[in-house]
Amino acid sequence: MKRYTGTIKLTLNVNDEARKVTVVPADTLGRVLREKLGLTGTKLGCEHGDCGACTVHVDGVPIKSCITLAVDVAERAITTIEGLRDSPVQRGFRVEYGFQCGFCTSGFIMNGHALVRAHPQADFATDLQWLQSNICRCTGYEGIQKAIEHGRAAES
Amino acid sequence: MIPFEFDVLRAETPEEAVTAWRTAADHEQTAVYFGGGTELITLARDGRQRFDLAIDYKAIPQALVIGGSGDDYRFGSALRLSELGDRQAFGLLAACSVGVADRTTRNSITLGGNICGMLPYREAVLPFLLLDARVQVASTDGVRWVELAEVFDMRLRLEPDELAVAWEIPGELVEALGPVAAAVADTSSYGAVTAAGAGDGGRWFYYRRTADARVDYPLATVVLAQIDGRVRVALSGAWGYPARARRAETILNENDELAAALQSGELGSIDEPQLRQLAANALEAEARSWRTDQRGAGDYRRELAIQAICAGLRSVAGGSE
Repeated sequence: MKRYTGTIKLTLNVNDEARKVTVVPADTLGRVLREKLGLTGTKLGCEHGDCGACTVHVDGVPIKSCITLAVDVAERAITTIEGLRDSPVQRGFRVEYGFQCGFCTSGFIMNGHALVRAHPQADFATDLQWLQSNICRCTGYEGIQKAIEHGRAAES
Repeated sequence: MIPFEFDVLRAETPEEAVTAWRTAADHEQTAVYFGGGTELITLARDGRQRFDLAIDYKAIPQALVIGGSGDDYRFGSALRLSELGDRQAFGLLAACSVGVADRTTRNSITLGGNICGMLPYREAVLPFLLLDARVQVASTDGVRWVELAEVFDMRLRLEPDELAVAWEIPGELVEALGPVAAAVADTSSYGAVTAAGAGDGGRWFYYRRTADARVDYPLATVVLAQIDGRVRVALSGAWGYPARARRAETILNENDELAAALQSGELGSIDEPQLRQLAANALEAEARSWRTDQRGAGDYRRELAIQAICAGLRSVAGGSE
C-alpha cells in the first residue's frame, strides 16, 4: 500500500530521463509536465479530456495528460512530444502540411506515432477509431490523415 | 487544475481499499474509489465533486483478471476498456467497451469506473446484465460474490464503502455465444455501429447509435443474444440508463412464430411490419420512460430501439443484419 499526501518529491521518468519534481496529489500530469518541467510541447486545450491536445505516452500507450494524476504514473515511462525526436510521423506532418495553428499537432503526433507502431498495416477503420481521440479546428483533417499515412510508410 | 487538496492511496488488496475507506469515514473524511480517474478529475476540476481521499484500486490483483477462470469468465474492475476491446477475451464485452468515449480516453477508463461512475449510460455493464453475471464485492465483512441482478437497478446499488472488484459471467453462456466477435461494422449511417458474433449455442448482436459524431453519449445501445432459441435483451441510452429488458424478453420468447423462426435459422415467415410490431410490443411491455435531451427526443430513441431490436432479431436468427 502506498499513500501520496501533502507535498511530495517525486521522480518521474520523462523521455528516458529521471526528472525530480515537487507535486501534490491533485496535480495533473499535463500541468506538471508544462509548469514544473518546462515541457510545453504538450498543450492543454480543453482540460476536459475531449480535445486530445494533451496526449502523451505512458509506457508507450497514448493517454490524456489533463485527466491523469501525476502520482498515478509515478513509476511509469512517460514520453512527451519532445521525446519523439523527429519520428517518421512528425516528419509526415511537416511534409504533408498536416497543421495550421499547430495547437492540436503534438497531440495528433503522439497518438499517430503510437497508432502506426501498433498497426503498421493501413486500416482506415482502425485509424479513424484512434484519431477520433483528437480534434483539429483548422485543417479539416485531410493533411493530418496524409501525415499519418506518410509516417506509417516511412516506419515500415 | 483541481481546486482542492486530497490524498491518493494505492491499495494492493481489496481489504486495504475498504479499510482505507472506513478509516477516512471514521475521521469524517470523504473517500472515493479511483480507477482511471477520467470522470473524477473532470468533475473535481469543475467543482462538481469533492473528496479527501482517492483510493486507487488498479494494483489489486483480483481487479486485473481477464478471461476464463475455471468454469467462468472473469473480468477485473481495473481492466481498461481499450484492453477489453483489443484482447477480445469476450466479443460482446469488447464491442460494448469500444463504444464508450474515444480510444485514448479508453486507455484510461476502467471497467469498474465505467459501471460505477456518475455518468448514467454505463455501457460496459450490458453484457453482464444480459448474461446473469455475478459481481465480486469487497466490504468490511470480507469479499463475497453476489448476483448482479440483485444489486443493479439503473446503477450498482452497493453500500458506500463497498468496492466492486471483479465481474463474472457463466462460462457456458460465453462459450455458447462464441468468445470472439465475428464482425464489427461502422455502417454508412453516420453514428451507427453494429457488431455480431456466434458460437456453438447462440448468437449475439450489438447496436450503438449516436446523434451525429461517433464519439458521443448514445441515443440507444442495444445488445441482444439468442441462446438455445431464447432471446435476451438489454439496453442503455434509450432510457438513459442500462437495464435488462426482461418483460420485453417475455413478449419475444412467448411468440410462437419467432420461436419457430429462431429454430429454423431465419425470420423468413415474419414480414417486416410484423417484426416491427413485435419489437414495439416488447419494448412497450417494459413501461419505461424514453430519455429526451438535446441529442434526441424520446420518440426518436424509441424508434431507434425498435429498429435495433428488429435488426438484432434478424442477426441472431441467422440471417444478415
